[in-house]
Amino acid sequence: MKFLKWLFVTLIIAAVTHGALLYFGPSLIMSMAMGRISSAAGVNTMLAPPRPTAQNNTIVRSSPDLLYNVCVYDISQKPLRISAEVPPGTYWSVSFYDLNTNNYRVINDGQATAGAVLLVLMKAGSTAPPPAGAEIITSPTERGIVLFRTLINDESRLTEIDAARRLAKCAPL
Amino acid sequence: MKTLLKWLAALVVGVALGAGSLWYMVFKANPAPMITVGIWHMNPLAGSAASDPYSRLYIAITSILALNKSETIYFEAKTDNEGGRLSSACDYTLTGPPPAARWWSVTAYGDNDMLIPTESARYSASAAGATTNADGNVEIALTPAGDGPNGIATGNGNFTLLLRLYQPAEDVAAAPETAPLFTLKKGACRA
Repeated sequence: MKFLKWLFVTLIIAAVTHGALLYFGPSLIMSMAMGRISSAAGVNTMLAPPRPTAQNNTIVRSSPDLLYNVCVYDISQKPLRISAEVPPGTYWSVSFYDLNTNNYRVINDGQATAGAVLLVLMKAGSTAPPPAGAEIITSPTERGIVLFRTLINDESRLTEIDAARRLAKCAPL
Repeated sequence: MKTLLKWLAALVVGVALGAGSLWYMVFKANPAPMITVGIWHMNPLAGSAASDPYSRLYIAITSILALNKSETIYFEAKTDNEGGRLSSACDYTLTGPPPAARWWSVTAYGDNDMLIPTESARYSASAAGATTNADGNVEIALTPAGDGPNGIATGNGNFTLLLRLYQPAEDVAAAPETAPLFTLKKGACRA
């Protein structure tokens, strides 16, 4: 009978561990990734790391064919203003990830036809007035990551593409 | 003291059991509805908010910051046609028509899912630089140093291939299981 009691206790602990890691695992992993990135650039500022190599990559499965810009955001206090030029003639996208790793919005170069984007990232229920001409994006969580991808579709254009992607900015509104 | 030890034992065994069963569910039982095309496997829920929790955890561990499938499709290969783990102890060749997408790339990652450090730094082959044969097919050599046509360096150890299709053709995005993808041929192996 005592054995059954301890077996029951052990199974309860196992079930709680399984469920807790399953439920909180993605946000824990995302928080760790955000911590690594923000330790280099801070929060609500744009980081433009160099092209991924075996020597410098910190995120699993980075593509060596892309240039990434990344902004770790925290919009608990203020919305985030995001602006970028769209480099011509190559694939470009800006994607938004919440704290649970969900990719809740993507805008690519085919959609950003004006050649530039001005976005305001807000939490649900925010009443801050956005700047004129800005597109509002609502984040499901107060923290997350905005990730720009710019494809190096021609090695001879690397300098030009790199310069264009470095114009991307993010800052509290 | 005896009771304390029993609680401690229950805690250690319980946590190990819980973590182990989760690892089994995420990586072995594979509850995610994976799509398979030859050696390639893809999770159609990658990057989506609707991912089931096991799938979401799998993606968070292996492919954090993935895009959803309308933007990019990711096919992963860890094993050859016989189910053997891809290893730099063997040479391989990928062959097939260029995938139907605005852009494609094949990248090799080490066991830690990071780019493989080699002298040649040939991490990937892509639509930008890959040459096409007269028959319209692309041939990609997978060797330790990245020698051979459109070569990718596989370094020293097990590796995983990731095939990215950026803005895939509509029919591929709608039915990735029908996509004509690169096939793998195993070459010479070293002891």
